[in-house]
Amino acid sequence: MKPNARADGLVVQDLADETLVYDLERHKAHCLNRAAAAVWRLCDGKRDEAALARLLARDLGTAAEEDVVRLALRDLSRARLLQEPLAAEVRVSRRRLLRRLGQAVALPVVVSIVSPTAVQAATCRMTQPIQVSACNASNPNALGCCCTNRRICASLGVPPGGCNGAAC
Amino acid sequence: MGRPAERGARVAVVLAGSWRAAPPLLDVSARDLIDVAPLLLQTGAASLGWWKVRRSPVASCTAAKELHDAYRLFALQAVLHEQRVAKAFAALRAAGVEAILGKGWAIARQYPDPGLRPYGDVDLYVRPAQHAAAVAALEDPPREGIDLHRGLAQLDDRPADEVFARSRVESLHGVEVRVFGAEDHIRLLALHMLRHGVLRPLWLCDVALALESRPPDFDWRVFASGSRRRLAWVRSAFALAHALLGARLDGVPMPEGAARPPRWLVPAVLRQWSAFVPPHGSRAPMAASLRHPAAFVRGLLLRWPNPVEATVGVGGPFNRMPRLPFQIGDCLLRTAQFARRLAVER
Repeated sequence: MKPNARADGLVVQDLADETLVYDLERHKAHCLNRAAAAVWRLCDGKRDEAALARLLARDLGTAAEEDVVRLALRDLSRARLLQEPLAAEVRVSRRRLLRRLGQAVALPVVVSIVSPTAVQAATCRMTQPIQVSACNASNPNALGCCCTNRRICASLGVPPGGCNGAAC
Repeated sequence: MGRPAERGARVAVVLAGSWRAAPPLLDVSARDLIDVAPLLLQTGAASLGWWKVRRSPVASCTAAKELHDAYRLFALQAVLHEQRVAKAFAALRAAGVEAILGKGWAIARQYPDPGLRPYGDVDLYVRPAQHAAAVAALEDPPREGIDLHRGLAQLDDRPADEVFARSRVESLHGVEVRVFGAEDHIRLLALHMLRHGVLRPLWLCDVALALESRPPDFDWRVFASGSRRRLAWVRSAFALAHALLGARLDGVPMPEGAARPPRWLVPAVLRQWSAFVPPHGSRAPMAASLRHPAAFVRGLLLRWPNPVEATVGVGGPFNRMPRLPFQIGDCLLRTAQFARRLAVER
């Protein structure tokens, strides 16, 4: 297996100790810890699990074995962050790995970010009202704007079909 | 301080110094954080809340986790917004229009982390003579989310040529983006915030940040130019940022007594921060409720101006006088404007 990281249709933001990825096609945000982000960036379609584990160990400065890479690939695949999803579900137990490797090894973690009911800092205006139909998850430009149904598209996780923000 | 302002006071405690790279340590209980977290989320100050909370004992509570997620989302949104700003400037420049960016990215870039300052609108200021060309230039891509100002809005008491001459160019995704000079921007931020009644605590953080991160060559003489009344308002905003959020006023020339806000100002703002109030323009239009008495009364109550926006609305001073006359005056002024607009539309 030589996985390749997906590059198209993603917005990536590197923060101090994690990497954030927003999927422009599925409108989902994911948070990758250092280990998961390192594996993801190393996936170039040419390296197998053994090579990835070696490079991961070098990048993180800790021991990393193939099971750690498999765990990362499973999570990345589930989050649709690989060009091709893994052919078969990888059977790796996070708990067992943690027990075997101890706390010293940071296991890769990919979590989806839950959208809080946060509104933007913009001074909303109705001078150019956005159509309700435009204010949904398939139009990220409308996010944070006021809708004509008097609700605010509050966050990146707006479900298809409408706003989920506070009433204007 | 009365009960209604207590939540606002907690918001102020959480946000004090939050714009700094190393904010002061926060000492709040999980219960207090749960109480104010919805307000921080609703007003766009959640990331700053997280920035303060992350090193405190309550960093692992559920409310803190919500603030953390908001911070992550804002960090992602920042990338999308930056692309939008760069595209808009590229389109304007191709059409020969020179615009200045205010607020939004112009202040967000000064925060120590990309996810700390969310923004939605891209506020662009163009000379009135170039407005039509700017509108045409922004048609493709559509100007969704772009707030194009004809002229310099709250900075119209200063010669436009001088404001443009003081503006600076920053690089964003390979595009040159023009932003206001520090002396003009801090004034714009403060006046915009006051005009909207200090509705959002985030705006006061912006003022505090702009004050503390002003460049060494900041020219106070230039800052003070223009309308004396507006200058006094801006100084009141500085005093407010100092009193509520601990903004440092070292080296800021403040006339005798100006460093202390009038007694009504702090409680008025804390009352405002104690409950989420939708901003102007995002409310249902009054015209739509004219035939529904209950909705009309609700609309009127929602629009009753807070003391700050009333003072600015009628062009009054931030002095010790009671605010009720200003609030009544502002209400009458707006009613007259509404009636005039209604008459024109019919």
